[in-house]
Amino acid sequence: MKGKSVIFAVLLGVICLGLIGTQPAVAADRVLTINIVGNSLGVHIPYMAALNEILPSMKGYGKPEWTRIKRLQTITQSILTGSVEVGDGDAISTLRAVEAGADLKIIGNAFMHTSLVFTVNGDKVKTFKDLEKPGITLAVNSKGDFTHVLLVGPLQKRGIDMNKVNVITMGGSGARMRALLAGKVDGVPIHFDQASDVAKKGNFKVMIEPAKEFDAFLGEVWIVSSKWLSKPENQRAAVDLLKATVMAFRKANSDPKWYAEMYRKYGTHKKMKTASDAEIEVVRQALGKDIGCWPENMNHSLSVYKELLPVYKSAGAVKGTVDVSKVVETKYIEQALKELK
Amino acid sequence: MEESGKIVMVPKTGWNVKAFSQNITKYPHIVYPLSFLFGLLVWELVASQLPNVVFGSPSRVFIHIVNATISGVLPNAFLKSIRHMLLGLGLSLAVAIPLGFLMGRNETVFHMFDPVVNAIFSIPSITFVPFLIIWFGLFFEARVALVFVMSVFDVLVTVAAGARNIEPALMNVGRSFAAGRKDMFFKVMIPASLPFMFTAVRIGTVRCINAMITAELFFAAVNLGEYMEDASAFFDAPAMLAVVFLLAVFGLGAQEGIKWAEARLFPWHVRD
Amino acid sequence: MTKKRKLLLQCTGIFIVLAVWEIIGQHLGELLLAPPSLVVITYVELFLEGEMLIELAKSLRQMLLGYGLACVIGMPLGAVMGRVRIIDALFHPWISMIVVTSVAALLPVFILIFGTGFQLRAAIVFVASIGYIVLTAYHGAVAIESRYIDVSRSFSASKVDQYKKVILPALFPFLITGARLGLVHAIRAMVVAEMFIITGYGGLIFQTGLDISTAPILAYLATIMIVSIGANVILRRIGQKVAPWYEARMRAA
Repeated sequence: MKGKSVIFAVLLGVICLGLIGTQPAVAADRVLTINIVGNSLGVHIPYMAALNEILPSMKGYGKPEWTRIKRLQTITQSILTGSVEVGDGDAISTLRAVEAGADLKIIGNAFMHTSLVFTVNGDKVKTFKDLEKPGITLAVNSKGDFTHVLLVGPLQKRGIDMNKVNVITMGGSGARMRALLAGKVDGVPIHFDQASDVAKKGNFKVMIEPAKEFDAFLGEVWIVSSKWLSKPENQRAAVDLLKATVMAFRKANSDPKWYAEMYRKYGTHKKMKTASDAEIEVVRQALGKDIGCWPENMNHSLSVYKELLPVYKSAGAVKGTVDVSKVVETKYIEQALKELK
Repeated sequence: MEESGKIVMVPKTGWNVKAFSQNITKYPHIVYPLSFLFGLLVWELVASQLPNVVFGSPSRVFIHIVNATISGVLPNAFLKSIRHMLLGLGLSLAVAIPLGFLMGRNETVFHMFDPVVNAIFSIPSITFVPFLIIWFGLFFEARVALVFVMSVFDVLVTVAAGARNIEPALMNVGRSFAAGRKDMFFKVMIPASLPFMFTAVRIGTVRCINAMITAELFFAAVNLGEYMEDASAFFDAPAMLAVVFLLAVFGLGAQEGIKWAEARLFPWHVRD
Repeated sequence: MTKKRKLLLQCTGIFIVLAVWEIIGQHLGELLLAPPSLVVITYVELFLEGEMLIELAKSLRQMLLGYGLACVIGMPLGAVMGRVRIIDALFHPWISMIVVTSVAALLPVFILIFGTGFQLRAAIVFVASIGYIVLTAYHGAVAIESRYIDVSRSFSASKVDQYKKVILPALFPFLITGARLGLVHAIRAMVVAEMFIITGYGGLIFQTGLDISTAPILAYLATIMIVSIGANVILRRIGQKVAPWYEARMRAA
């Protein structure tokens, strides 16, 4: 029947189009598949430059195929089945995954500390004690993750009873910021380069600066699965990825012009593309010098994790059953640093 | 449909597959559980192929459900989640049924608003979320609003289609008996519309159960949504699957319940 | 109702809605609901930038695989379910369960299993649309009046002929409706998945999250509406061409 063959042809065409659309390009160079966080702000610039400029300039590597992911824990989840090789995720979700039975390794830092600051609605929250009031709501990304830890740690230090503080979880920094501006929540974590914008829109002030509260704080880390790491060519790739990151760190610390160029190129916020040199330099100084987000030797070591584990435990982030020495893999960064000498 | 009502005799010489399959469907209480078992087997098979940390086999999920039910956490969360679902469903039906009738019986209204309704129907519900946050906040009101938005157009389209297609023969019979407007409405139109009203309620319920958990994942995570988020953050795959599975079973129960109610109350409705 | 009058009414309806939107939008301001006048300007800007169409094409291509599979598997399944009781008894409960399942709830589970590549997108679109395709086909198959089958039997048509000449043509309008409904849900699932994993068209919508104005997101929504309506029109046309009785059968669809 004419009708039947028409439908069949259309459906076949649809499926064919679908299949064609899903074929990845074949590359001669090594193209790593990486999942990264949703937005690239000031603190993310060096590793974005490492992925997009420095790594491809190394022999045998093409530009990595990176995909942005809305939530940090999703990045860790995506590594589990090997559909993606490297994840730029967070340490806490990795530790949790390992506690649940996954076999993952953290090989290095994409940056240290955090450029997040906790911003509150100045009309409703004037002192720390105000946070215990029943009508006040704070929003973090996910329960027990680092956005939660950066809140809990400082508050506990100041004797605030966390049971009285109303914290809700809501994914997406954009949604959280919108909710803050619309007066639906009273405090959210925002990257400090956006905090000044937010402050212009109303009485919003920065209440907690993690850099001032924590000596060492983990930012985003490079995560891989042990299975991936067992292959020699991937071990090589790991070292090279870390080398590129370290080179980017060092350049960001020493070369303001390069950083400014990368800032405009890879920033995802519209304002970043047209920022002036002076504005960018303020960001670079704050992140690089004051907070220390890009250590010259990456500072990826077991001691940092051992120091932070009790803080994570008390914030309910991890159960504490994990043996960090099995998750934290330092031999690749050691190799990378050796090769860079 | 196949011949119904009579039991086909099995020839003495052996198994008759056709007879078997015809007979067995006489006993839905056998086939239903069989279908479940069949599905569970497939699930078990899939689970054995995947690592434990990403998926859960039926046994692990059931153990989780039992534990969570005994501790009361899961039923508690479920009962709280149902509130915004029911309110949203109620509002949806209250708005969409009259409007759908109006659209279905009045050609002018129909043609005026049909393109608009179809256009808004095609918008993904997640994109309503930023607006709903701004207008309704992050909590109960916003959840009800999302449940409403996700179901009202489906119900509207169904009621309008049904109202448009009421058998003209029925209306003519009413007219030839000189029925007044009130009689036409209550004694002809309402009974004639019951079949598609039930369909509309069923479709609305399906969408509302879907929206129930969606709302708790897009706004402030509470109740079941919070349960799922925590499970997801801690890589507890059985817990995540438990919630999905329970909601699916709930949805199945709701749909079957509505079908059963219709069959009992109005056995003359010619349906499946 | 003449065609001209129908068109006039449709345009009037659209005009009324746009007018109401404009008034509300001006009153509330672009922070809460940008009025159409502002959205049109933003739309043209974004359109000319080019990203919107490129990402749209990419996203639609990826969606087509899952959707196509759902049609190919779902339509026959629904049709057979409607005619053969035991198949119905076996599959219907699971289809009823799939159709209630929220994409947002399923997504974290699927990400664990499929990762974040195109497999995920195909899988989620497949699951989101298959329920509706199967159920619509099922209702179509069930509704085939037995008198049509009786007529074919009294002309001693073979089983194959029965299927080709009676069942399929009667089923056809429902298959098309199922395809249209499935497409709406496929697009929805695609956008949700793409807002989680920020790529494609959904990624663009996600990026507007950091914008203060609501105009960009409305502009992106407008394109989705256009795509959806366009696809609906195309499917309806195919339906009418191949089965002219389609319009009579699905008068309000």
